[in-house]
Amino acid sequence: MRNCRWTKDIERWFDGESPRADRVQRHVAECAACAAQLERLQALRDGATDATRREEIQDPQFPAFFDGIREAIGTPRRGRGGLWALASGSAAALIAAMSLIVMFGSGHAPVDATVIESCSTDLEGASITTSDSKNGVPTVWITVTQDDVW
Amino acid sequence: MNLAGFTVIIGALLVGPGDEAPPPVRIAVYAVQVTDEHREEKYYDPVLRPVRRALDDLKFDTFREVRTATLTVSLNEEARLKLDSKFALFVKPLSREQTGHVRLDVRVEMPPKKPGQKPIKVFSTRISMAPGKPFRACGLKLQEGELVVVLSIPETAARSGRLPSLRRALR
Repeated sequence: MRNCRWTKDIERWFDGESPRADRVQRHVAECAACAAQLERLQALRDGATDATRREEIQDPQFPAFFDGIREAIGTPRRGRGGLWALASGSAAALIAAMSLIVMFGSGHAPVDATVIESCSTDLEGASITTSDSKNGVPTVWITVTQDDVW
Repeated sequence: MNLAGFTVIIGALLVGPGDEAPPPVRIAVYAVQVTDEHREEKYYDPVLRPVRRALDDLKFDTFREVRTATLTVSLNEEARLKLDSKFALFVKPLSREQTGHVRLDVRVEMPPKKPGQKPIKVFSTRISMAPGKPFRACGLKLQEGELVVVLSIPETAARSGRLPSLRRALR
């Protein structure tokens, strides 16, 4: 943007500090750059005014405003303390359950049977076999062919 | 549950079975003489009641106690139990599994025919015993009948490996 040598004068005039107000006004009417600068200054002032303006609740808005307050007061709010207590309790229960599983659990699927892994005999003429009884009792059977062994 | 409670539980977990001697194994032994006396109903000595179910399929009608005992044996130690004037039982627990099973070597010996010779190994077996699930050996001649040896590990003693640590930690 092209600057005009009147720019400083425009700014002072805009702030009400220019002793040559009539001349500045006439210049602005003739200079497009200064007119644009004046518009920018005005836009800045309007924006600053909007930003600093406090929201005010007008009379017609009061019923809705107070309804909102009443609703907020009437609704029980879950505080962070409650959430923390819930989380702590859950964590404690989980740790306790895992501890009990580790302490009392087997860690493996239970195998309920007794198993004969191997068997042998040194008796001459004897044979040895294994089987399960009808009740599922693992059995070692010694069969002797020589009566005099016993 | 507060922090102290957590500390106790975690401590009990950390104080596992590794920092103490493994508990000994309890093994119930029943040496039974089985005979056929032509009874109308089978007869069992009252002391054999706990193992009656392990005997009732045998083709005999009379079941008499020869020897009963409960051995308490540490792992890798061998216990000897004389069953009668002829047979002796040897039991050696090898390990206790996470499942509660106990692996053990079981052997029955009888005296040699001639003095100075080694005892005769009637049978030798390695078994993995589940608590409350008995094992038996049959076929040994004994006077007018046979000798049956039944071994069992009581269920209540099966999983006691970690409990002493916990109890001590909670004291």
